[in-house]
Amino acid sequence: MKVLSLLLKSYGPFTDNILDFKDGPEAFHLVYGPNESGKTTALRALKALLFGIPDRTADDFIHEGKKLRIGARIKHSDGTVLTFQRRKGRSKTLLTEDERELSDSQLKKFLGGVDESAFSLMFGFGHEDLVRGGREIASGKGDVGQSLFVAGSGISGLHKVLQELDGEAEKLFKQRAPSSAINQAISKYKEAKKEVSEFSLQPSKWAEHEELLRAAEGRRDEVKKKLDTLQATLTRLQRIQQAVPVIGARKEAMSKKEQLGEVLILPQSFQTERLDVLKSLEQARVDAGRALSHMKTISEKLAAIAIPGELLGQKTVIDETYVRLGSYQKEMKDLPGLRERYVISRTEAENLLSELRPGTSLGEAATLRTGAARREHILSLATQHRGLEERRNSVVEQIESLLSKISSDDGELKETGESADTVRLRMTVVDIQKEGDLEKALDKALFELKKAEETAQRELSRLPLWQGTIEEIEVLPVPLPETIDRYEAAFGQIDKQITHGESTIKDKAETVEQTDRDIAALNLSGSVPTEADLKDARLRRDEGWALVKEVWIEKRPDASKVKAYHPELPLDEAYERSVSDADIIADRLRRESDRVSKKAVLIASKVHLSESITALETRKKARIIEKEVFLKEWNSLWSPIGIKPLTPREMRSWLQSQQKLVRDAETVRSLRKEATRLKERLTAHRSSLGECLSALGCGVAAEQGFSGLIEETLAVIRKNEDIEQKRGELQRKLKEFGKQLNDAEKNEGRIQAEKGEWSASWEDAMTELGLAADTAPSEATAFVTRSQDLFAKLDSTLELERRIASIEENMTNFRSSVKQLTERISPDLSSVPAELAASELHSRLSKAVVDNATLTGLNDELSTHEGDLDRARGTISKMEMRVQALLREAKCEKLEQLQEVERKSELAQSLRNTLEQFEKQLLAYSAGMKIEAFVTEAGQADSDSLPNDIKEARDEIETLETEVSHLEQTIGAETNLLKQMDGTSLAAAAAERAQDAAARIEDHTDRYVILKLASAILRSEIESYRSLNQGPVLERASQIFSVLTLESFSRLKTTFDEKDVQILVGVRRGTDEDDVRVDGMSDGTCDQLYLALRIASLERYLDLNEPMPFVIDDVLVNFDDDRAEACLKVFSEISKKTQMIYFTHHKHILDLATKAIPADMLMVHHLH
Amino acid sequence: MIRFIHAADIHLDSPLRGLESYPGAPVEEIRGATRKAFVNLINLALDENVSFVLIAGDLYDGDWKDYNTGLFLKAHLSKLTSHGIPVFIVKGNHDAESRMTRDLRLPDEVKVLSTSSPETVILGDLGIAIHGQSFATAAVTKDLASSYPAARHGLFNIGMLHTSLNGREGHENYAPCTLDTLKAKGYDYWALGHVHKREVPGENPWIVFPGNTQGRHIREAGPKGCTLVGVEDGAVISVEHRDLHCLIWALCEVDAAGAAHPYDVVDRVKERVEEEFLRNNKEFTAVRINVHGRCKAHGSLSQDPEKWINEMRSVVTDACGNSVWFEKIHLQTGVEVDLEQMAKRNDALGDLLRYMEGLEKGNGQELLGLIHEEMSELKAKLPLELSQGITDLSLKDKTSATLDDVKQLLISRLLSSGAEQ
Repeated sequence: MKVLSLLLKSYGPFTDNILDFKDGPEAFHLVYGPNESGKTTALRALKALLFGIPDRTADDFIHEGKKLRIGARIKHSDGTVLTFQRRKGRSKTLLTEDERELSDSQLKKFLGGVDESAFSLMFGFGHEDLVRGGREIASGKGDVGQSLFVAGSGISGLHKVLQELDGEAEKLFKQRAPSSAINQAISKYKEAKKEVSEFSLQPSKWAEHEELLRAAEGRRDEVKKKLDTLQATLTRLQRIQQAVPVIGARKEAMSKKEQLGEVLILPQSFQTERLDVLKSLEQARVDAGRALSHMKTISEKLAAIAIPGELLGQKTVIDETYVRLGSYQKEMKDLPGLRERYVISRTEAENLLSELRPGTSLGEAATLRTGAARREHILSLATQHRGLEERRNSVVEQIESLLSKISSDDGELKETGESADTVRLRMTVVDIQKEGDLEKALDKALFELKKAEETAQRELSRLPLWQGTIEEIEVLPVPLPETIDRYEAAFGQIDKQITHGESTIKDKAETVEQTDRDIAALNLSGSVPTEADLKDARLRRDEGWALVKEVWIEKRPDASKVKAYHPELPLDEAYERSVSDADIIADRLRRESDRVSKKAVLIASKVHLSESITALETRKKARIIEKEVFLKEWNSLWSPIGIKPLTPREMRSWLQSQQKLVRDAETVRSLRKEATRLKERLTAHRSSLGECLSALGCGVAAEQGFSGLIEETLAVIRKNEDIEQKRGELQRKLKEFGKQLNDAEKNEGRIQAEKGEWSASWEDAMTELGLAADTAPSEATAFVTRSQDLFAKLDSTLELERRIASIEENMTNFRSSVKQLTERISPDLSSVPAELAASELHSRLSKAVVDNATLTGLNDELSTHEGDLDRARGTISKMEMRVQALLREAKCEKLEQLQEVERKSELAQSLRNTLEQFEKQLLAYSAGMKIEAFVTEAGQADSDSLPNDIKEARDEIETLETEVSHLEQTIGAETNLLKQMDGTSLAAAAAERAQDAAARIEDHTDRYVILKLASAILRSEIESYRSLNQGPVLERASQIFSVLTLESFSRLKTTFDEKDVQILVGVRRGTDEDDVRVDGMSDGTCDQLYLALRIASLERYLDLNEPMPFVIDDVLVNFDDDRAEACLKVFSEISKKTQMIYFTHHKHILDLATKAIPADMLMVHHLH
Repeated sequence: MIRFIHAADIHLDSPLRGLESYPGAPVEEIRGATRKAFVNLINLALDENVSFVLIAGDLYDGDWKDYNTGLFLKAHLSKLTSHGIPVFIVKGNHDAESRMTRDLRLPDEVKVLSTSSPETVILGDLGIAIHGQSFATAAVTKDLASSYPAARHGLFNIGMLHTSLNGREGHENYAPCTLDTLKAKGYDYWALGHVHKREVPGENPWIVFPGNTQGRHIREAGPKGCTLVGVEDGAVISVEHRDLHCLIWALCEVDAAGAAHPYDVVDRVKERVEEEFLRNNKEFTAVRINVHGRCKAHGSLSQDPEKWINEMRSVVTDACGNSVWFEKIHLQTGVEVDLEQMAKRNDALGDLLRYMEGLEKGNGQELLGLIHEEMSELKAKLPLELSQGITDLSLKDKTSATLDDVKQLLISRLLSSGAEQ
């Protein structure tokens, strides 16, 4: 397969770029891209074209993913051609030229089983691959098999893959490495297995322990029974031992009781009661004596008290008189003072009256009294008069102040003057500002215009072939791009035909030469007879025979004829020779028939070739003429513009430049228009502003800038606005002051009227008072006040007079009522003055009251003591009765016998209690036996041997208890043991661990087998690949290596290293022909060795498979020029077998290729 | 209504196989699985208050010698008998082999039917007759069923038999018999054992394999348990399966085709396992995952399978908690390149593939010959019981699978080795 053309329609930075590799004989294609990115993208595009655009591509930065397209025409070695394109996507990404879906199988045939990875490995070849390959060969130490495999497959990590496979396998298993994974798992497995048997419980072991447990339990039960019996015996003995002393004591007590005999037992309270009764009797007798003595004393006191008869009955009257005595004594003391004050007051009144109305008596003074209302009226009028005066003064002052303010503001208003009308000016400015900053816009437009003009001019001067202005270029009648394409195609077609013709002619001419050489070679090993030779010899023989017949048979000898037939020999000999010659030729023709026919074929083919060369030459000439005609047409196409055109391709580029200039010219034109428009607007605005300003009387300076002008205008507007505002303010103030003045004047009038009304009222009041009408208000007020004082004095004189009379009457009344009282109660006091008598009566009454109270208290005390006496007498009789009862109970007749009876009773009671106590104790020891039976049993026991019996029992119990404890321990231990055995899962858990390890072993082993097999298979294949390919590939690689190393190595050969591995060595040119092993070669030489092997392998591949384009990515960057040149030559040779596409962004590679490769073998493509 | 439980193949303390522990694996959850399942059986019988329990053989693993297993069994059977639930057992091949069966004294209410001839037990108050014969030896190859007595008239007849019936894959052909033989006895219910997969070969009369109570390896996948049977008026009225397992084995196939990155594959594995986990009502699940399909991710997966398997475990553990155990993750993905096309090429890789195709057609011995020495070394190290099978490549399908793994490993490594540097 080869690529006829690659269309980078929309991919990476490319849009509609074509790499046209052209059909026809193979050539070495060099694709030159000025930068690396374009080149690598094109490479990627080629791969994407054949195998799909990757999901995550970096080439969608201009054209979005779904619009990416790469197109191509490719040709199979059988001549079929496929035109298709590739889009990005997951499936069905192959399309026809017109975007219809195309089946993948269509392309499959052209790929010949090569997939993306194989294509990258085998047919894509970059500098990195070269370096990696070189290193790979070095790391394999030149192992022939590995080196060939690596070069044959393009796989450069072969050595590493082998190492990894072995390494991983070794990690899994190595016989003598306990740490390897499988060995570890095996030991885990074995360990777990061991645990299984350790933890496993044997049935017999279980049975044995169960038996032990049962025996121990039986014995324990038996011993426990025995223990119970012994314990009972011990207890009984201990009880008897404890009871023995009690039994003795009880016996003694019982004999004492017998001795005492029959005794009356008194209640326990008897003695206490006896003592209580005697004590109460004594006490009652003492109480009765004491009561009688008290009663006698009180009776004596009562007889000593006496009280007068009527005094207590008049108690109320006497107390009242005694109270009135206090006020009587006070009035007697006050009376003289009052009489003196009366005289003073009367004198003062008389003085005041004579002052106001001389000659008038006190009795007449009452006529002078005025009413309170009249008085208030006069005082109010006086106050009103003062108020009116104050208000009048204030109004007059206000009027004066207002008049002064009005005159001042009026003056200021006149000074301010009138404002001008700026409405039109303002509207004009607003309109202008709406259009924005025109000056700035104009500057920008002018700047861009200048830039555009410069750019256009620069481009114009760069445009070859044509001279003229930018305006002219716009209207040039240039041909259409399609026309150029048409001519290019036509020229291309003709050129191709011519080139093809030439190369065919050349091939044929070479073949003719070869034929000549082959004929000459044939002739060299002796001339080759031809049919023509035979014919000639026979003709000569026949000629001889005719002459023989003529001379000898017809006897017509002709010496000249004979001479002519053969100049030296006689006729017979000459004829003989001719016969023999013909025979020899005929014989040789038969004998050397191979050579003869070969030569015949050679000659025939030479003739045929010569004929066809002539025909081709003729055709070529016709094509050249045809081309000239086209050229003329082409030239005439451009004559209207006055241009002698270059090739259509160059002219297409020229046309592109011209089109760009046309666009530039358009830009210049539009910018210029904009600048002019802006300038016009500015002038118009300036003039309208000027007009407005001069109408207002403001001049405009001609040199003023536009923005300055606007500033100035705005200042004028602001100034007039200020004036307008100030005038308004002053006028408002003047109006306000006028209004205030008017109000003040009205107020003044109102005050005057009120004053008139007041004067009339005042006159009336003065007349009524008897004063002159024009009396001043202050004077009238003073008169009214003095009259008031007079009447006050008069009133107090009258009051004093009334009080003196009342006191004198009270005193008389008191004296008479005291006289009446004394005469009725105590006539002895009737001659005593009233105040003394009243006091004496009162003191007599007080004494009588006290005596009366004492009498009552004594009577009460007497009756209390009488009660006490009665009670004491009652108690005495009761107690005496109780004494009699006690005597009866104790069966005594006298009190003195009672004590002895009591003592005996107590003794008997105590003995009874002791016996009861003993019996209670014995009951406890007897453990339920009757006491007498128990006492009998105890009596039978031998009290001396008791302690010993007890000790023996105790010892035996201890022994048995120890045994039980041991048995319990055994039982516990066995029970535990059996419990532990009871269904534990330790062994089962160990078995699970063993399975875990087994699973691991299985897993690792599977992997180990795979790794080992992979390694073994790969090595085996490498070896068989070597044996198959070593001969042809190494022979060719040897030649290429020699070329690439500029013959510093003469060839490659194989030899064996120390480990008997077959390895590659280079043979250095020179007399000694040293072998150089790869570890002795420089990196560069290793690279060249790899390259040589790779190329040789590629050639071998091409011999056996469908050819594929070999795509090389700047592989020579590190080669020096000589080696690079040599290598390029090798590449160009291979390009005869398959398409070689070499991408580079190095100019010197381009130059080297041009130099090293014949022009007809090299096609250079430029990537833009 | 009378109810009884029919269980079989308890294989007490038989370890779970193929579970390789890994860091973070929920080891505790799987410990003693067969015991837990057996405890579940006991609890079910108590909860459902059944009239009796039938165990149709294989209480233990035959080669298992730990008497503790028997003690455990006894302790738990005692729970049933102490609640008045009798148990009837026929010994299976494993029990016959086991020493434990001979030594262990079971409670009186646990009746192990005779080994010498078919024995019949009549439960008069329930109106039930149980017929059965235990295995006397591990390998009973004669038809036991044929000599079972005819049905007792007027009773509900149950036949207990440890049998492979007419042969079942993966099971020794013991006590073989035909369905016709069983049907001819006129019994109402055949309680069979020996086959670990639940199966109901007949419904008239009922012939039931309840399956084992707990799956022990990936070939015993799915829920496991016993059969709860209801009988009324001398006829079966209900046959229900009841789960007893403590964990479920599940096989998950995951298609990785087209996965660009190993993480895509990890996600697919997670989704698939989660799906399975939910299907099992979030019960503890032991999964085997087979990842297959041609994909870009294959290169990275085969380069470091351990890393990606750990990743898968970790992601699934995050999603399902400690309720999933990875029995195995088989990464069987393939390279994306078309190997068939590649095999047709006349170049080094084409040769390699053709060479391997040739090996595949061989008998495996040729293959083993390649690594004979290494294999001998390994075999010598391995315990005898494990070395069988593991290294045996002579089986045709194993050869093919192994070679396919080798092919995928080699091609992906060779193709990626050049590109990655």
